[in-house]
Amino acid sequence: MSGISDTERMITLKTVEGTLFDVKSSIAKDLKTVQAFIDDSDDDVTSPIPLPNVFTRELSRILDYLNNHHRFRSGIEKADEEMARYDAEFAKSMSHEELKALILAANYLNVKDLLEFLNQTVADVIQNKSVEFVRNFFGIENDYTPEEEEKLRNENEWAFNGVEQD
Amino acid sequence: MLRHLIAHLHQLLHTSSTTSPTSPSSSFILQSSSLHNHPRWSFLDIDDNSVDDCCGLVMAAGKSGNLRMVEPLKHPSTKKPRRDQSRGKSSGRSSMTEVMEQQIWKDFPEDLIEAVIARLPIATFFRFRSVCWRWNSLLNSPSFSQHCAQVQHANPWFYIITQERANSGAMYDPSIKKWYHPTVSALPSKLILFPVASAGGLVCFLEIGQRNFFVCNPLTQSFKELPARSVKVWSPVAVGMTANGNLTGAGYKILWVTCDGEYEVYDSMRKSWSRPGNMPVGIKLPLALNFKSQSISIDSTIYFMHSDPEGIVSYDIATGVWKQYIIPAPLHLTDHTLAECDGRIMLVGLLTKNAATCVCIWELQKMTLLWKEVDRMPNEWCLDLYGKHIKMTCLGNKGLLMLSLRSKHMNRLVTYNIASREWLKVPGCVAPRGRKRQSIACGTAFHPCLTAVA
Repeated sequence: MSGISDTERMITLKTVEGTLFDVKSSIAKDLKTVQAFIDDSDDDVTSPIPLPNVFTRELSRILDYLNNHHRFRSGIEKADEEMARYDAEFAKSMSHEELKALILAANYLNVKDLLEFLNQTVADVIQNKSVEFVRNFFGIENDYTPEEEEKLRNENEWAFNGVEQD
Repeated sequence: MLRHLIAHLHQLLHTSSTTSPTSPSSSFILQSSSLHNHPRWSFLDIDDNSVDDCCGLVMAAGKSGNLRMVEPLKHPSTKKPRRDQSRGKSSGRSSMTEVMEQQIWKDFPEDLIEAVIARLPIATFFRFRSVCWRWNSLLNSPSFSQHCAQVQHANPWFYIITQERANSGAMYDPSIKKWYHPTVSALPSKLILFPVASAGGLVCFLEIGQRNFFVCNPLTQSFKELPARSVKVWSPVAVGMTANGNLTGAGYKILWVTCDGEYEVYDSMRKSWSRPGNMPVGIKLPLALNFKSQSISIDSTIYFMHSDPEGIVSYDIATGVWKQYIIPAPLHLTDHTLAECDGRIMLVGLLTKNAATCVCIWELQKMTLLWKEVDRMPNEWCLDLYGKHIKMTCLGNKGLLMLSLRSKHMNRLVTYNIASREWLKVPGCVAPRGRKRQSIACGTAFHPCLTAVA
């Protein structure tokens, strides 16, 4: 931990597997759960903060995302395009299992922007699918009677135009 | 138990592949002898060379933590034949990934599912109400409402009334350039109602006789008829509306004002009209209010245009203070209306000089109280207006303008994005099961909000 300026403190985080991550305090602010822990502590936090629900793979991805976004935001104009491209690649690089694990980790750590982005990614996956697909996807049982379903479909008919049929 | 199963599989694979180690027999059935403890396990028929499938299923069972056997895939047509493996690894893995995906999201927390649903396109949300009763009743859920409040919609939608079917409306989503025609009209069909203002996802309607007000969320059929005004005034009114805050349920206020300076404010939390006082003496009455211009609201202040003298009057609903600004109008201006974008006060109107007509945009310079031209409709489009008697109606004045340009043989719709300065053509509004473009009588922009309640 050499070469740290006075203005940028480092926080150490420990994952389930015991891996230690040194994180700048400015980045740690985006991990609201961690920040709350720091704020609640009377003294300066020197020992590693344990994250019992977070695995190394997820924390590594989250810190990657935050570091990049901080970099984009602190630069000058063109950053929006670069950021969009980074986000697209980031989402594409994960399998569904990895995506879900990352959402749960981001939710636990309360990383607002990343969580919004990931939830939007899942919404994008299901948005053009049929109702039946969505039921299977989330493991939801259809608790409508056929008559109820028909009535509901008629009421919301205006929204069904141009979408794959059930 | 899982280890036994895997060992068993290996055993069966080895014994059945005496002729060729890489291609097991054509059908492969799990022996029931080892499964007598688990009556839920069913026989599974697996196709040629589908060892990977089998392992995938075992892996899926292992991953989900319990030994639940996955059902055969419901859509066999989507499962690619193994012979296509020459296409590369991805096609070979499609059936395995599908099987795994079916397990992954099944225990996704409800709260996060709501966050995902809140981020679906509006029309998709309505489709997915058919998924189950819970999803159908999300509109009444406070937690869902909070998720919706955090979603920023890039563009407002537009609610319009056509001249052909004056008692039902249509909605336009500029993000995907699509018109929607709700089958069940949100409003009582016997009345003719004009949209006059909107705030917080709700639209305020005024009945044709200018008697009663209605408030409605065009997306969800939630609507309310407001109590009668306490003042029996039948002169024309200009109307403005503000939302009390960002959260749905925070309420709204509606203001009407006449040329004689009479005005009243409706408070949705108190569910009543009140007369806060009189217009200040400094404002010369009667006011020549511009009834064709829609009002704008910025924070808690509503702005109306007037002529003679030309300018703007404003009313701050929070403080109850009226102010007047004398602002000379641009020359040769007709069909003009106020608009707003991020707190900037704008003016849009037709500029006609000799026979040339153009749509222009001005911004109010607050220091000098003068209109400064900031943009014009592209020249090629203006040429289409040359020499014609054009009538322009503004159908939405919040950030994204929708303008209807009509002459005897022309019926054009365009949108203008004030922030990005982009002009776009709008597809014609055609009634369902119809072919002809309809003429739009009037409209207003509104921010689509699933959980706003009238």
